[in-house]
Order: sequence, then structure tokens, then C-alpha cells
Amino acid sequence: MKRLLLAAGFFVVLLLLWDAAFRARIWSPVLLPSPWQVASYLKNAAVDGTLAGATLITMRRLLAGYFIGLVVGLPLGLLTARWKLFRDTIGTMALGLQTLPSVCWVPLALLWFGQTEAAMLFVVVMGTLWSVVIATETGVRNVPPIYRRAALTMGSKRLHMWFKVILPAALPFIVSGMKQGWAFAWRSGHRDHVRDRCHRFAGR
Amino acid sequence: MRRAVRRRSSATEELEVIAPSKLAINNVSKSFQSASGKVLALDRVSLNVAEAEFVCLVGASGCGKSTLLNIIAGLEKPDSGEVLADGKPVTAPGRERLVMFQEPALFPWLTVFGNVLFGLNLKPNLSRKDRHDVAKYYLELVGLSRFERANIHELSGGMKQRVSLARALAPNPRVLLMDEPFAALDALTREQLYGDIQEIWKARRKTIVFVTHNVREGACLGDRVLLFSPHPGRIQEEFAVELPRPRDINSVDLAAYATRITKALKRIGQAEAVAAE
Ligand SMILES: Nc1ncnc2c1ncn2[C@@H]1O[C@H](COP(=O)(O)OP(=O)(O)OP(=O)(O)O)[C@@H](O)[C@H]1O
Ligand SMILES: [Mg+2]
Repeated sequence: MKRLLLAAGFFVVLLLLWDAAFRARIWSPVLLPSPWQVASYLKNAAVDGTLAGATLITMRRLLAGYFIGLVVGLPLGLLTARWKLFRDTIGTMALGLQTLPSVCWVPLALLWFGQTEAAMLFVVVMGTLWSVVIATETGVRNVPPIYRRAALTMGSKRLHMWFKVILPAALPFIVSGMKQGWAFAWRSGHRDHVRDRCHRFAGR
Repeated sequence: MRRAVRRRSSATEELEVIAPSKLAINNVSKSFQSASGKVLALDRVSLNVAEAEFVCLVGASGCGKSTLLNIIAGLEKPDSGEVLADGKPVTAPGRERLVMFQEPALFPWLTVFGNVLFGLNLKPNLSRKDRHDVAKYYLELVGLSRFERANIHELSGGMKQRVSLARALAPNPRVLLMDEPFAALDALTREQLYGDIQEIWKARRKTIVFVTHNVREGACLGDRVLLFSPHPGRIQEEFAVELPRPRDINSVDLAAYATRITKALKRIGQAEAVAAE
């Protein structure tokens, strides 16, 4: 209760400061609108549905990109964990590309796909895919060998081994990769959005 | 004993007592390449184990006991020599010979019940109900019926070993290979398990190879106790323990056997490495 009051008080003070800064007219109202203007804009947007629509579009784009990243990344990760050939090729590439901030993909995406939905999807996928590949590979390679051995003695082989032992054992790693992938997707999605708005604002 | 070993009314063929295997280990050698050079883990080890015999291997750390168990299980290949189970060479792991490993090997992503069911799910020609009945039977046998829905990390060390035992017993193997299964437990829990394992062994008729550091434990459980010596790993001496069963770990007769075995260990110069109990 005390913490709640404290937090509420803090935000009221912030709002008052903001309002005071607006009233003092230090910056033009275009740069610093009053809190009440912003609130009424948000309210209108919420009422006429543009806010919900924009949120929906962003979320849909994010989710679609994320799932493509997952669906492609998981098998790629398994392949790199299983065969040295894939590790030396796809694995190395994933390692390189994962460190790339997803904003780097924006110019390429614009070049290849133009100002389309596909371009944004591409950026989100690139933000997700590589961390999923790497997490899956690390996860699989970190499965304690004892699980495999125990399963072998009980007659588990090939596909059964992969689906009933190695994947579940690697799951904690894979999930953390998926979370990281989600964070990347989220950020790249918003970066996209910001760029989009800027273009519109500049009248393009 | 605390728990009656009985057949359920719904018992399937799975719960029939099947013939335990006869093992022949002939001149098995195995070496490992490590950073510090080549280690001869096993040097021409030969050993015969009769059907339904309980054999204990005692020896210092690093003398190749686990390696021998892995080779019998088919998880590792010997450099030379062979292992025969009922006259047939062992070339790969299989559910005829199940292992209770030295390190924790239960699957943490499955419940207790899921772990016991794992090996059963891999056996063909069983209905879903059969599998469940068999898993329940073994959980009851090790006294963990109440915990079948529990997660592995919620169990105590002793309970985990019981689940491992149930998991190894469930597919009804002919041979049970146990690698220091009770080493990490407190004395009280261990004493309970000595009783349980003897009872289960009698009821289910398995050939058991049991590895331990503990001379008294070996004398309590084994029909025979074999002494291993390290570098290179060899079987040095063997003792037949002729005491009636079930044996009590604290009995005086058993202590006499333990003393004799410990003396022999001293003679081959490695008593200091074996738990002084
Ligand atoms: N995978 C391996 N790679 C290299 N060396 C190994 C490997 N496995 C076992 N060794 C070596 O072989 C020897 C025997 O090992 P093993 O695990 O069979 O001993 P142990 O008798 O089971 O010991 P402990 O009682 O400590 O479990 C040791 O010297 C060990 O270092
Ligand atoms: Mg060992």
C-alpha cells in the first residue's frame, strides 16, 4: 500500500513538472505538448480505433515474424548441433549474424522488398532467427550425456531419442533463446515502426 | 519387511518372473586416451556370473568398475575380449541389461511416473493400461506410489534412487547393473534400501552386478564379493559370502566377513581408498 502511494505520488509530481515546463513556454508546444493534449490525443485515438488498429498491426507483424523465425530456426539449430558440416557453415554464419543489430537489416529490406509488409517481416525474422538457431544448438550440445546413455539402455533410438530425450533436455536453453528472440523481434518491430512514422511525419 | 511384494490382479506378462541372464566376461581390456597419457582402465578381466547371482565389485576409485559396467551394458566397446549374455555377444545397449548409474540420470522433464514409464513405452506389444499398471506396480514396490505425480527435483536423494531402481526394473530386464547406487545416501536410508533390494531381488529374480566402495555393503548384498585393483584394473581376489538372507548390515557374522575382505584389500594395498566402515 505504502509502495503504491509512493509510486502514484511520484508520477503525479512528474506530471506536474511536465505541466509546469509546458506553461513556462521554454520549448515550442510542438516539441513539448501539455500532458492534457497528449491524454486527449490518446483518448481520441482509442475511441476512433486507430490506436487499437496500429497496435494490432504491429503485434501481428511481430508475431508472424517471430513464428517464422522459430519454425525455421529450430530445425536449423538441430541440424547444426547434429552435423559438423552444418555447424561449420550455418552455425558460423548464425554466430556472425546474431551480433548484428537488426536495424542493419532495414536498408537491405527496403532495397529488396521496398516499402512493403514483407520488408518489415524480413527485419523481424532476421532479428529472431539467429538467436533461436544458436540457442537450440547450444542447448542440444549441453544435454548431459548421461541422459542419452540412460535412454539408450532403455531402447531409445534416433527419432525417439531426439523427440523424447534431447529436445526436452535442451528445452530450457531453447526457451531462453526464444525469449531473447522475442526481445529482438520486439525491438526490431518497433524500430520499424519509428522509421515508418518519421517518414510520414516528414511528408514522404 | 515393510512392503509386501505381491502380484497385482491386473498383472500382465510383464510381471511374470523371467529368466535372469548368465554373463560371461572374457578377457576384457579397455584403455582410455587422456591428456596425461594412456590409462589402462581394464586389463584382461574375466568373470562369470550365474543366473540370478548377486555379484558385488569392490575397489578403489578409478580402478575401472564403472567402465566394466558400461561394457556389460553395451554402452562402451572393449578394446579386446568380449561379453556374452546367455552365450550371445553383447554389441549394443538393450533393455535386457538395465543400469542404475552412478550419477543422477532421471529425466527432470518427466514426473516420477513418466520416468518409470519411459522404458515401458519403448516395449512393443503392450497396451497403454498394461504400461500404467506395470509402472504403478514398481512404484509401489519401491514405496513411492504417493509420489507418482511429483517432479524429480522435489524428491530427496533416497527417493530419487528408489525411482531410478523402479525405472530400471520396470522393463523387466534380465540383468541389473548398479553403479554405487547408495553412495550418496545417509546410513539410515541405505539400511532400508539394503532390505528392499534383497527383497526385490528375491521376488523378481535378476542377475545383479553391483559396484560399491563399501566392503560391508558388498558383504551384505553379494553372493560373491570381487576385489578390484587399479592401474591397471584387474580382479584380484574373490570372496563367497555364505550367510542366510535377508542379511542385516549390522550382524556380527557379516562384520567378520567385512573384516576379512578389508584385510585382503589391505594386502593388495588399497584399503586407504575404500570407505573404512
Ligand atoms: N571417458 C573416459 N575418458 C578418459 N578416461 C576415462 C574415461 N572413463 C574412465 N576413464 C579412466 O578410466 C579409469 C577407470 O574409470 P572408472 O570410471 O571405470 O573408475 P571407477 O572404478 O568406476 O571409479 P569410481 O569408484 O570413482 O567411480 C580411470 O582412471 C578414469 O580416469
Ligand atoms: Mg565409477
